[in-house]
Formats: sequence, structure tokens, C-alpha cells
Amino acid sequence: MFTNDIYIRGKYATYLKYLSQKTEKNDRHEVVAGVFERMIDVYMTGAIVGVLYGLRKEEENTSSVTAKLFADVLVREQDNLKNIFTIVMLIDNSCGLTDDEKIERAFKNPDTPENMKIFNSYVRGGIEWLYEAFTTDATTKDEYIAKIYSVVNDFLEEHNIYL
Amino acid sequence: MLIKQITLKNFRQYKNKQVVKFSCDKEKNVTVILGVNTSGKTTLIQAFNWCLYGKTTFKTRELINTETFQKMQMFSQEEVYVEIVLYHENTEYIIKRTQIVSKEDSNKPKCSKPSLEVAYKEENGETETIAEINVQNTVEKILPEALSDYFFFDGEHISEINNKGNVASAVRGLMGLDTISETVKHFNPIRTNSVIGKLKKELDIAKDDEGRKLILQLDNAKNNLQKLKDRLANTRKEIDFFENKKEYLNKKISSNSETKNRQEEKLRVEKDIKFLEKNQKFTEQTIVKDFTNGAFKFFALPLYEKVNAVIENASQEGVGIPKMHSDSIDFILRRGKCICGADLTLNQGAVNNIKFEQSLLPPQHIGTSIREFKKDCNRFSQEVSEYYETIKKDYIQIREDANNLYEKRDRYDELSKLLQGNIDVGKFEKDLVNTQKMLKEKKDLELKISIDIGSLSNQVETFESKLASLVIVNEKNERLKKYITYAESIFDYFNTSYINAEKKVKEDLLSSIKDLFKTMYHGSRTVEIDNDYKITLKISDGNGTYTNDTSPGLDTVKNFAFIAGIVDLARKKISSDDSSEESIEFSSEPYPIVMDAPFSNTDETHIENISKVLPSIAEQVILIVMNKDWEYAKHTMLDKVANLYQIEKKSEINSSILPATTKEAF
Repeated sequence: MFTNDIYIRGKYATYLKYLSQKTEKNDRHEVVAGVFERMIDVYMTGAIVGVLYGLRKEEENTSSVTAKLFADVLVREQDNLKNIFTIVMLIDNSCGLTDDEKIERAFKNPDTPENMKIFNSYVRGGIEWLYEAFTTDATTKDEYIAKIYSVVNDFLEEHNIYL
Repeated sequence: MLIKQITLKNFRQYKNKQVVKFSCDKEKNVTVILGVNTSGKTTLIQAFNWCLYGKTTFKTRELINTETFQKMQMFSQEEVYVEIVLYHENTEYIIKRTQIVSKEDSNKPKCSKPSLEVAYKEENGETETIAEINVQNTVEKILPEALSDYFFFDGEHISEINNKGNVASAVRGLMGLDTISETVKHFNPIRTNSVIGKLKKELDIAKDDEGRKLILQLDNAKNNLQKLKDRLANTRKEIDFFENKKEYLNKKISSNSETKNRQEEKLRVEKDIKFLEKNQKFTEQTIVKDFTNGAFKFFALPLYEKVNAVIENASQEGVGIPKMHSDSIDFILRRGKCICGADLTLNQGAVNNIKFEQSLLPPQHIGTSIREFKKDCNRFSQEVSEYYETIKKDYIQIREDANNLYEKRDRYDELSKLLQGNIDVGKFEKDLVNTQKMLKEKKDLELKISIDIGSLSNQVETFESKLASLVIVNEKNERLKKYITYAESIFDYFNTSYINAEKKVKEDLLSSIKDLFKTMYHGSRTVEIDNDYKITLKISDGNGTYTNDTSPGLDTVKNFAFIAGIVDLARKKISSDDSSEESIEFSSEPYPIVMDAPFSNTDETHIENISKVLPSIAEQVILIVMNKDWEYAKHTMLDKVANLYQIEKKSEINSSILPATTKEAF
């Protein structure tokens, strides 16, 4: 699990790159929001956000843009990725599983193409949410940075969380 | 020189006073003194030599007449003298050499050192004595001793006359060439003791060089001094310029102090802006880093509870039958009969339950994983407890920095607007610093140049004073150089004249001797003369010209020709007034020929020939001859004879000279 390269394609690849600072560092001329340090960070957060808001998005290839997450990075983030995957497997209600079945899916035999498909669909949904959250009413670097605080703040308010 | 008279007193065999007057007549210029052998002919010649040069060739040293000495009283004195009266260069000289003889011993006379007195007659007839210190010199001037052999000679020596080593110098002297030769020697630049040599020695050439060097050095020093002075003037102008500039800049700066402050503030603000902009990048990076680090954990916050709920809701959350193993279940399922005895093949529900139970047992047991997962979730949740605060802090910092930056930019713009069109005081200050630096440099330079000028001025003064002392030497050198040039001209002139004159003398002499020889000699020999004035006789026949041995008689004839040639030449010189501008008129005083027994070894024909020639070539001829020789001579000579004397031999120690009266004499 998470030992091979992962490819994100189409507009989600564009979003992913847009949110990642890594892209900015690779190509100084590309104007991006760059609110996450790396693409893997967007990928992981995207999965959480996707499953939180129940946002599943299918793969799409409207553009040829591809973002590649390299296996070595994935292996380094293996523990976090597995935990995130477990969370997704436990929260996902799309298959009508009982809690026991969810546990079975999450812990006993998680590494199936089916499960990965579900996981990545949440990733795509989450990336789209993040993209919209950070780019709505923001076009400049200052505004993107300011969005970090407002997104965090809004999220806490939305979920009535007090830290 | 012509001999007027000789007086002998007590001189050898001539007892008492004997006076012989010689003819100085131009026509009858011969004086003959006749005498027999040992009568005192040679003594007469010796008397001339003793008087003039203090020398004799007698075997005994005593000069006093023996009879006189014998007759002398004991302790009495007697004088011996020879006095010659002669004409030289139109002046009559009286030359007298005296020896005082004392008789202190009856056998041996005591002789004093002979003394020489020379007097001359002045035009008014008065006699003037020449100082003792100059007497011998005067004689030398009249007739140099070296030449005396050619004028006072006896027959025994006549054959050697041309073979003497100093013939050349004798001829030169006689012909007056020695004077010019002395002059040439006196000026000859090769000799260090010559006029030119001495002048050159006196020349201080080193000082000349030193002077030239000094002049160069002085010129250089003066040039350099002028350059330094120009440079000093320039430097002072530059100092004035920088002083003015400094004053101007100070005024500008003080009158623009507000502007200066603003400019300084602007610089500070500019610096702040740069810092804030850099800081902004850093805080942006910080917020991104902080946001990223906890992002998925933060967004998962609402999910942890849900996850827990799922795990909580699951009935068999991690609790399996104790001690039961999955293999036990597999055994029960395989046999199809439960431990309660029920048939499992007919009850699928029971089988599922059993399978579920199996799932809770090892190795398929997931309780541990779940527990770990729950722990992780708790950790995640705790890790983001400060998430919001961190992000908020980062954001506030960003906002503050942004505001700060905004304010600074605002201030910067404001200051820029205020300073627009104003003078850049900073530039003035920078300029002032440079100006002060330049001013210091120039003042240092001024000091250095002033010191250099001081030392160079001293140098110039030293050079000038040195030069002043050299000028005196230089003037002397200039004078000496002029003298040397004159002296060199004189040398060249005399040297050339000498060479020409000698050449002419030799030619004339040869021609004269040839003529005379031809007159005197009745053979077929001819005469040659070499560089040393030595005569060789040559015989010419059909086979060529050669030299052969000569006889003493032939030598006598040859030498007569030689002497006669010299005298003839001297006469010609004096009689011809051949003085062109380019040649020197050599003085050549006429000289007498005083001969003792000239015709020894000569045959009668030659005697006749010689007698014929001699009076015509010499100004004055004094012959002391034996009566037998006179026999042959008198035929050709008698008409030239003015005075004829006879020596009367009274005894071996007593002779007198008296005018001849005998028939034979004439």
C-alpha cells in the first residue's frame, strides 16, 4: 500500500499543483497559491477533506495535466497515509457497510483496488474543495496567504471546534 | 768672431809678455806664425783653448814658464795669463784667464785656481766688466767649446776632424741651427720639460672637467628648482581650490540640514522596507510550513469522533474468546458439528457467527491495529491543539509586517516627494570628505615640495660657490690654453724652419765642400755627405761608384775641404741677407781658422791648393806653420798675409814671438 507512484490527472492535477508550493519552486514563473509545502500534503489533506464533506469525484481527463507523486515520498509518509486511509475506510458510507464491516475493510483487508478507488475519489473531491476554498476571492500571493488564516478560522467556526 | 790679438804672459815656454796681432782685414786676412819643431806652435793653440775654456792637453799641469819660476823669489807671486781680444757681433771683448803662481817650494810652483775675466767695450769706448758668474757663459756664447775644435786645431788632429762623433751637432751649432734646434727642443710638446710640456702640466684639466660637470649639475639643479617652484605654485592653487570647495560644501551642507535629515530618514526607511520585504517572505513561508505540517490532522478534527464512534459501535471490538485459536474454529467448521452438538452444515447463520468469532482470534486479530490507530488519532488531535493559535500568530505577524511595510512605503513615498528637486546633501558630504582628503594630500605635498626646494636651493648655492672658485682656475686654464696654442704654433714654425734650414745647410755644405774639394784635390775622387755630416770619398770609374781606403794625406785634404766648406757656408750666410717671410734668418757669426801645422802629411800640390782656397773662404786665417811647409804655401798665400811672425826658440823653455824679418819668410 502506497509503495508505487500515484498519478493524478486532469483538472485535479492542476488544482493539486496550484495549491502546492513545490510547483512554485520548480517553476518560478508559474503563479500558484502555494499554500501547501508539497503535493503529498495536498493529497493527504484532500483525502481527509473529501471524506469529511462526503465529496467523491471520479477520475477525469479533460486536460493532459498529470501530477505524479513519487513512490519514495509516499513510502516516507507511509504511516500518515495508512492512518488517513483507515479514517476514510471507517467514515465512508457509500457502500452501505455496517460499522463492523467498515472495521473489517479498514483493518483486515484494506489494500484492494476497490478501496483505493474509493480513497482516491475522496482525494479528488477534497482537492477540489481546497482549491475553491483558497482561490475564492483570492488572486494575489498576499490574498492566498491571508486565506490560510480565514480557511482555518472558518473551518473551526463551521464545525464548532474550539482549540 | 774675429781674433784681434792674443797676449801671453809666462805661459809655458813663452817667457814674459808676448803679443801677437792678428789681421782682421777683409782682403789681407791671413796671419802666419812660423816656427820650427818644438818652438811652441802647439802651445799657441793651447793658449787659445786655455784662455777660452781653461783646458790644455799638456802632460805637465804647470803653466808657468819654467825660467820665470826658477827666477822667482821664494814666497813671491807671479801671474800667468793669456788675454784674447776679439770682435764678436760688432763688440770688442777682452777675455783674460789668469793663474797666480806662488813659490813656496823651490821645485814645485803653487798654482791658484785660474780666474777668468771678460770685459767688453761699449760704444762710447768705455770698458764694461762682465760679472764673474756670467763670464764662462759669455765665452760659450761667443764660441761654444764644442765647436772650438773646428777652429783651433793642430795638424795631428786634422785628419780626425770629420770622424768625430759630434760632427752633426758641431755643424748645426756652427750654422746657427743649434739655436733654432734649442728653440725646437724648448718648445717640443713631447718633452715634459719643454714650454708646452710645462704649460700642459700647469693646466688643471681635472678642474676643467669638474667645472663642466658642475655647470651641468648646476643647470640640472636650477631646472629642477624651477620645476619644483612651478609645482609648488600649482599645488598652492590646488589648495586654494580645495579650501574654497570645502567652504562651499560646508555652507551647502549646513543650509540643507533638514534635507539632510530627510535624506537620512529616507535611507533608513529604504533599509527598513528591504528588511520587511525579506521578512515578509520568511513569515509567509512560516505560515505555509505551519499550515502544511498539521493540515490533514486539523481537517480531520471533526472525523476523530466519528471514527471512534464506528469503532465503539462495532460489537466485537477487539475481544476474542480467550485461549481460543483460529485453528480450533477451522477444526469445528471442518467436522460440521458445533461444540454444543448442533449440526453446522444445516445452519449458515451459526457458521457466520463462528467465522466472526474466528476473526477475532489470532492471527487475524485486529484489536492491536485498532488500538494503535486510535492512539494515532488521539495524537493527531493533540498535535493540532495549538494549530489555530500558531496560524493566527503567523497571520498576525504577516498583517503587522504588511502594515508596517505599508507605512514605511507610505513614508518613503512621502519623503521622496519632499526631497524631490532638493539637493542631495549626502553627495555634498561625500564630496566634502573627498575634498578634505584631497586638501590634506595637497598640504602634505606642499610641505614636501617646500622642503625639497630648500635643499635644492642649498645645492644650487653650493654649486655656484664651487663654480665661482673654479672660474679662477678656468681663467688660468683658458690663458694657458692660449699660451699652448701660441707655443705650438711657434714650435711648428721653428720645427718646419729647422727641417728646411738643415736640409738647405746640408745641400749648401755639400755643394761647397764638393767645389772646395775639387779645387784642393788633384785626383778623381768625389765627395758624399751623409745625415751625420760625415764625408765619404768615392771613386767613380766605368764600373760604378765605390769607396776605398784613404791615406792620412787624403783625409787632411778632405777635412780641409770640410772645414773650408763650413766656413765658406757661414760666410755666405752672413753676406747674403736672404730673409724671406717664411724662413728664419739664422745668425752665423764669421769664425777664424786657427791652424797648427796644417800641412803635415800633405803633399806640396795640396798645400798650394789649400793655401789658395783658405783665405778666400775664411774671414780670418791664422796659420802656425813649419818653415818648410810655408815654402809651398807662401806662393799662393802671401798676397793675403797681413802679419807674419816668427817664433824664436831661445831654449827649450824660452821662446818669443816676433814679427818675421827673414827673407825666407817672404
